[in-house]
Amino acid sequence: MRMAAYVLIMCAIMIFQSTVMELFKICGIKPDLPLVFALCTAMAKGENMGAFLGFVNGVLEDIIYGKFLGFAALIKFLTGYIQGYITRDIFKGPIILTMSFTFLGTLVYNIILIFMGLIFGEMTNPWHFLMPIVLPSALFNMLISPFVYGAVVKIEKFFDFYFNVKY
Amino acid sequence: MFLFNIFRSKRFWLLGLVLSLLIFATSYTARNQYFFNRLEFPVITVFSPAQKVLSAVSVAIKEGFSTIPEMLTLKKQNEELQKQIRELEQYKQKYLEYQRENINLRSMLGLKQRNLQYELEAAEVIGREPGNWFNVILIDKGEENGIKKDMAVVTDQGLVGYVLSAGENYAKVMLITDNRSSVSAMIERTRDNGILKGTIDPAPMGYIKMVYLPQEANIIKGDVVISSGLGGLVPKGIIIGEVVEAQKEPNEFMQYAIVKPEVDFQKLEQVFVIKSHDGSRGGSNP
Repeated sequence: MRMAAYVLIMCAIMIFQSTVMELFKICGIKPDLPLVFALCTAMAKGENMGAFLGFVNGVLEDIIYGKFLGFAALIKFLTGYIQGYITRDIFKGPIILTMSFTFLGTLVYNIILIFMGLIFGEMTNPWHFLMPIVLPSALFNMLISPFVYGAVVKIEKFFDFYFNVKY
Repeated sequence: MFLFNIFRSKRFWLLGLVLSLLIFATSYTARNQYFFNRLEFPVITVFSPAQKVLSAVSVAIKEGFSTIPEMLTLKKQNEELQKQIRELEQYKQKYLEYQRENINLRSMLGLKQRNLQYELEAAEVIGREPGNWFNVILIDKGEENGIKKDMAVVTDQGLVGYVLSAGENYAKVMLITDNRSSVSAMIERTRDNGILKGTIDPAPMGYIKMVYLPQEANIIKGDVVISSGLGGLVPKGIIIGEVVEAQKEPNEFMQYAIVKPEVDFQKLEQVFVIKSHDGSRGGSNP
């Protein structure tokens, strides 16, 4: 049930990202809310949940905007897993840590994306856009991460109450 | 010992299995579009009503914010527009005169008059690619309205892109700024042909690179770029943008141009799909 609830939340975030998040676009770059949500959940709940949410996010992205299935799913699945695995034994209390790990997670995501893009022929010379795309998007994601992490913690508390205590 | 432990762990094999499955899915659906189209139809159908509503909300907010600074410059804008109207009136008279003259000359030469009217289908943008690397939009019209793969998509400003795939009531449009797009184009003044390859190196964000231009072509800043009609994907003569820079390709007998698109992709709300042009019906697949 909890997984299904997370899938629904991810669907809602995806719709929000492809419509309302356009308002927050600066110089052609916007924050990637579904990715930040997957990264923050990976930090809070571990690599399995991070990989699962990354996978759901990627599959939806592939189906709605992609040319084929599996490209974004593979990249975001790996990113979620790596984020959860790296931060599994780290105390995530301070905001600065959440922000730093989101920044690093976005960098990891972009590196995997470039690597896969070159393998599948989806990109030509992406290195030119390392600074104009990768860095601003990592900074953008880093800035929204404390709010998203706070939301993830609240969602978890609600789910704990709803699924474990209430039923 | 460490490697032995890794290979013994169930997690490693599970991760490997999922990754292999995803790689297989990618290569399979890249070759089998029919399967992928069947998969995307139910998902997009479920998502599109909510996307339509939120898109409308987003547009309303954007318009609301853009109105405030506009109000401050209204008087000046009004004066400029009045001046422009007077100029355009003069152009209109000249245009009508040339048109009459053109009709006469054509009929004298016995040429068939070209029908420059396109059959258009208006559509609304209901979603945009969530990431920052690719530029694909989702529109609310599809096969039900006669929209097919590879049809050109325009606005009153110029070329937007072309249809990547179409479902029953939606279509994915690849913008000309996407690094995977490829459109035949020409420099209006010099008639030199080239290919627009999206935002690729060294074009800055939001600009597009025009490649395979002859080295001897005399391209200058401000030259207008239009579609050449070659390849049949986009009809000839649609405005694409303006040259901001032209450079020789290193170690090649070609030159490239950086083009600023005429369409403001940030404010893309309504588009038109060209269903037929120059007498062709039902698409223009090469």
